[in-house]
Amino acid sequence: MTLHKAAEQRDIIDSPEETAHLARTWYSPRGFPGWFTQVNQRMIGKRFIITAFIFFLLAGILGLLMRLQLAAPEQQLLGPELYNQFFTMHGTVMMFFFAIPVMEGVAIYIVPLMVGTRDMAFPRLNAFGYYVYLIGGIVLFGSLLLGMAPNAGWFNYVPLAGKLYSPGYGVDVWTTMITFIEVSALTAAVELIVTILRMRAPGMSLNRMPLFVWAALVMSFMIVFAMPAVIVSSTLLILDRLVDTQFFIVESGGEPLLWQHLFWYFGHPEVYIILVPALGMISTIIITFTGRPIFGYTALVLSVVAIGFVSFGLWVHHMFTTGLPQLGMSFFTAASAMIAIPSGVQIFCWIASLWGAKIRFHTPMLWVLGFFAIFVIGGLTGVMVASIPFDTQVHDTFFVVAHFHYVLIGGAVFPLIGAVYYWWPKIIGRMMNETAGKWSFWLAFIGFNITFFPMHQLGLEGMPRRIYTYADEMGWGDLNMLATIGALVLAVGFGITLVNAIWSVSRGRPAGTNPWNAPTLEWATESPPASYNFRHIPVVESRWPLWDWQRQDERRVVTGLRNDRREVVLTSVLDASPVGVQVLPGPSIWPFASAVAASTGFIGIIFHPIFFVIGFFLVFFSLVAWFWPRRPWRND
Amino acid sequence: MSAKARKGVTRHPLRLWTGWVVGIIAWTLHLIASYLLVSWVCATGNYWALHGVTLATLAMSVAGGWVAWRQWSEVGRQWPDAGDPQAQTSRIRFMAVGGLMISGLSALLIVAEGIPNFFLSACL
Ligand code: HEM
Repeated sequence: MTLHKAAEQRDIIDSPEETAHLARTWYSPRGFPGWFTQVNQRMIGKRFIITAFIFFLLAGILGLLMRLQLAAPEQQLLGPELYNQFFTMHGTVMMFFFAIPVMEGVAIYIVPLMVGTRDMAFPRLNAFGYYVYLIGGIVLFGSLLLGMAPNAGWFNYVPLAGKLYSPGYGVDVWTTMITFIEVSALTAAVELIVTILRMRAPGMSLNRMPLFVWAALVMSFMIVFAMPAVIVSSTLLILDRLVDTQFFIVESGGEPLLWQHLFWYFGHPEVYIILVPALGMISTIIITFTGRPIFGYTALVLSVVAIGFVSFGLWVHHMFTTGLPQLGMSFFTAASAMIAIPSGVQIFCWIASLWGAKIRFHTPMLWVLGFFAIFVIGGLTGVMVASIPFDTQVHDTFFVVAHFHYVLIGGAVFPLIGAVYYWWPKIIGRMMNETAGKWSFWLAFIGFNITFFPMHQLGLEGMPRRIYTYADEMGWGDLNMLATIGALVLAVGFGITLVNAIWSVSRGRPAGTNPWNAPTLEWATESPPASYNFRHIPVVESRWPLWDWQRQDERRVVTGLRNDRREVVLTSVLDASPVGVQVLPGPSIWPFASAVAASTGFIGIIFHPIFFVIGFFLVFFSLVAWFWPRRPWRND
Repeated sequence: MSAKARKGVTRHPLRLWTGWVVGIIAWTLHLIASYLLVSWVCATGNYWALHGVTLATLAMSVAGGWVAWRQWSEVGRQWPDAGDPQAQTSRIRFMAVGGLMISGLSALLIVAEGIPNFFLSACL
């Protein structure tokens, strides 16, 4: 084992037999058995991404249907009950089943490649997280088909969500599925934290970590601190509903505002959990397409960290109209205003990086520039609603709908699509079509603004959100028609990207190792990477390893890892000096079995408490099988 | 870098994290304590409690910043981006500057949140 003294690549001779052996060791089962047993990080990441985009499509269709319903006054396309279910499902699915998982998915796929390792720290836990997510999503949509979907809005306020006003199973399904997604997010977060802190390529000290990896790290810590709050709140609610506890029931001394506090203590960081990885994607894309180191690496890292923690001190600004003491709320206004500082630092560093650079305007870069335009508008309306008098005026109107779609679609979906164009060649091995990409961008950009800009005006004119229709006399018809037309254009824009991505799988131009001339490690291996990710774990000497190697024409690598079992290098937290080797487990059915067992318990409990016991034992047995010790004498 | 400074740094790797953590904790305490105190202050009129919380947590975050500043001084106060052949030194600079900035932002947050105490009544 020669971890400390890295060898020169030219000194190493890779015999094809050894490489084949390594590939076999890291092999991921394909076909039908593969569906239930794969654990390799790239497979799980890809599944997360694809599943999340399917949910994006479904929730987007719900959005379009709502827009069609609102296009003209007094339409009867969707009745009031269905409209309630639709906006609840749309919001819930977009936030919980699309935005968070897709960001996790990209991180799960890209981060291990970026830090130069072969898998994540706990591959089976990773798989478990995915199955839990998938089952949760399917059950949630199933409830819509059965007509028992939740209908109390994506933040599910009590008392509306209490048993008294929401009998039926809808809210129970909501609380349970939210718990599913939280569990899945927590597993991914733990994975990412450990992988980032302990499995970086030797030499990748903290100050050399790619910005996307920093963003993923901050996102993961935010998940760890934010998610438990909503697990607690939904547990309290389900107790209220199933076994008649009184946490939120005013008549017996409960407190509905407790729900709002717990929910938004999670809910506000949640929107930043979506934003932060997008910030990392933007920095990554800017570095590559300007072809030079980013301006203000340290400032960018620190501002992402700052955004991460300040976002935990803003939640009460969602509750400005609940009659809390003014002085108490003003603390949160102050914090809300201060988050503009780190956000501003980000924007200025990016502008400085773009300034005077030879920018290559490929599709990923276009989406990033689109982000700038849209996100700034969303930020401005954000500052407006952070002021209590203004917020009191527009609270619960379409102004708010406009604001949050500007920050969510502009702040997260645009960079995400840019990132898809950027990393798809690595994932699939083929390029997406540039012309189609540009069409897609411009249609989406124009369509987006036509859809959501008029909503500001509608809100100022007093159109409330969450109404299934409105009277002709209100005079809101024209702008609503415009918004609906915009939504169709937007949908065509996104649709082109979908078709482009599918088309490229078989028809795209082969991508080669590093089509964009990017500086980070994921571009140092084939596209798509072999099962073992890197033939040799690289050694890193700066923030831009690939650009170094181009200059020096040689690279140092780690030697001495065995190829007959799944070995990865462990390194120290601060300086990433090698400290040991970890053997990772191979494919297994048990994560899937455990996910099914846990789901049986959670879902069954909605209908009968006995499922708690059944679920407990099923999970116990599947975990025992999962953790059955490996046989040391077999050395596998 | 003097031998003594190097020793100081390697003896306490956790000191480098101090600036990253203490400021954030101070700010969290400030936000929660102030928010919790409001109704009590309204009932008793003891505004000094709010100002006291601000002062105490401000001192805490400044202390965090001071520790970071010391670390930075020990390795030579240069901006960490200025690529250093000695990898460890620039990593220490990076973390020290990080601690300083984060403590600084926390202090700023605490001040910003402390201002309304002078102008708004706790009973509104
Ligand atoms: C694809 C284009 C989209 C369209 C056409 C669209 C349209 C809509 C419409 C019509 C509403 C209901 C407004 C109301 O009556 O109150 C809505 C609500 C909402 N949307 Fe979207 N949306 C889109 C994308 C997104 C995305 C990408 C996200 C998040 C990542 C998102 C998050 C939400 C949320 C959280 C709500 C609030 C739900 C609630 O009131 O409980 N939307 N959207």
